[in-house]
Parts: sequence; structure tokens; C-alpha cells
Amino acid sequence: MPEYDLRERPPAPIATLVVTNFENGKSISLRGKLDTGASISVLPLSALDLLELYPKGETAIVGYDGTRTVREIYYADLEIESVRLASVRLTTTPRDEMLLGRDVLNQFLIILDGKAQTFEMRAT
Amino acid sequence: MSMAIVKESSLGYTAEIERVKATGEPLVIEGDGKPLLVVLPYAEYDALVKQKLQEQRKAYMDVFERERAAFEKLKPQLLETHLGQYVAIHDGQVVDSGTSDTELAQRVLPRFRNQAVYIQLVQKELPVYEITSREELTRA
Repeated sequence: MPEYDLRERPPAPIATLVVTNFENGKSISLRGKLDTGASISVLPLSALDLLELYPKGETAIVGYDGTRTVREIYYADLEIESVRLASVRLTTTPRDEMLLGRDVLNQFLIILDGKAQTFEMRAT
Repeated sequence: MSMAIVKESSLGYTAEIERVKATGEPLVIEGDGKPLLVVLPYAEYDALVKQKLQEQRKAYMDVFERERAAFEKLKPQLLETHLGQYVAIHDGQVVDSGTSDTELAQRVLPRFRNQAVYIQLVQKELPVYEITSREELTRA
């Protein structure tokens, strides 16, 4: 069972996943923080060149304080805990790891055991 | 881009490799009198790859902007014919549409591999998503 990442303060559930550009087959492994506060999943900017992934659309993003920004949209396949999700809508961030938003998380049964600092994700 | 990695000691060009490391000048390996391969400092190779990727991205973005502008131009008409649907714009025209952008991307992107395509929901305003992580927004 995956363990929480203790480097986060407080510790956080972070899954390992593979992102694939389905236009050219290029893949990379990333860490993805489970984030039920995000309605869209977020890819690190540094992944774009590695995947040779280009934008296919744009959207408005609203933050916790109501700040509104326009960001590009990308589509890529994700493999999380051996479950493959085809053509997931993504936007980007300068951070190092992905954020897995509710669009992705809602496709899994997720058990967060904060006391034991472990979590479970499986396809429903 | 995939890359093969070999140990320096296995190359058999030790003196020449040392010269590349010392001078930064590339080593050209010939076969049948023609240049076949180049050994150059990794930093130089990395800079070349990044430059190529930047040029590719700029070329893509120029076309992507044209597709986005085409969507804006078509929008008044699309609001009457495709309201609430996603459309894919390529070469200034609607090439496909549907109720799911992810399914539309799966259909359309392999058809126009590595070419600019603009996918957007037909409605007056841009679709809105929320990212409530304070940390994410302060870094963005």
C-alpha cells in the first residue's frame, strides 16, 4: 500500500504515475499529489519539453482567493497504480509534481488512512 | 527523443574524448570517408536539443494562435450551431465536434499528429476550473 510522503508538511498522499503523450508515445514518470480541491489535474511545466506536448486549448482557472487566470490545456494519457486513463485534460504549473484533481480522482476508490499515513487507490 | 548511453571507457577513443572534454570542440567520427557521428560536450548537446525544442514550440504556437483566432472568428456562428459542444479547429475549420473534449482529443489528435489543433467548448465564456491549492497559485 503506498505511503504518505513524509517530506510534505503535513505528510500527503502522493501517487507515482506515468504520463504519455499519445501523439508520439513519449512517456515520463512523475509524482502526483492527490488534491480534491482541484477540479482539473495539473502537469509540471518541465514535463512539456520532455513529452514534446503542445497545447490544444485554453481555460480559465479560479484560485482559492477568486484569482482568475487563463491557462493552456493539454491532453495526455495517465497510468496510475496500473490503471490507464486515456486522454486526460491537463493544465500546467511551475511546481515539480503533478496535482491529481477530482477529474482523475473520481475514477478511483480512494482510502486515505491518515493515522497510518498510507493510502489506497484502485479502479472502481 | 530516446538516447543510448555508453561508458566513456568503452568507447576506445580515450585520447580524442579527452580532447573534446578539454577543448569543448566536437569529435567527428567518419565512415567510408563521410562524417557519421559527432561527439560533443553534453552541455552543448543539451543546449542544441533545447534550442530545437524551443523552435518547434514557437512554430507550433504560431499556428496554434491562428487556430485560436479562427475559433473566435467562427464563434458567433458556432454559438448557433454547436452551443454546449466541443469543437476541434484545424486549418481554420471545424474538423470534428462532440460533447466530450477528451473523447474529441482522442479522435482528432492522432489524425493531425504534431499539427496544431484548437479544441474549445462553444459557449460565451471560457470554461472555468478551480485549483484551490494556495501553494500552487503562489508558484504559478
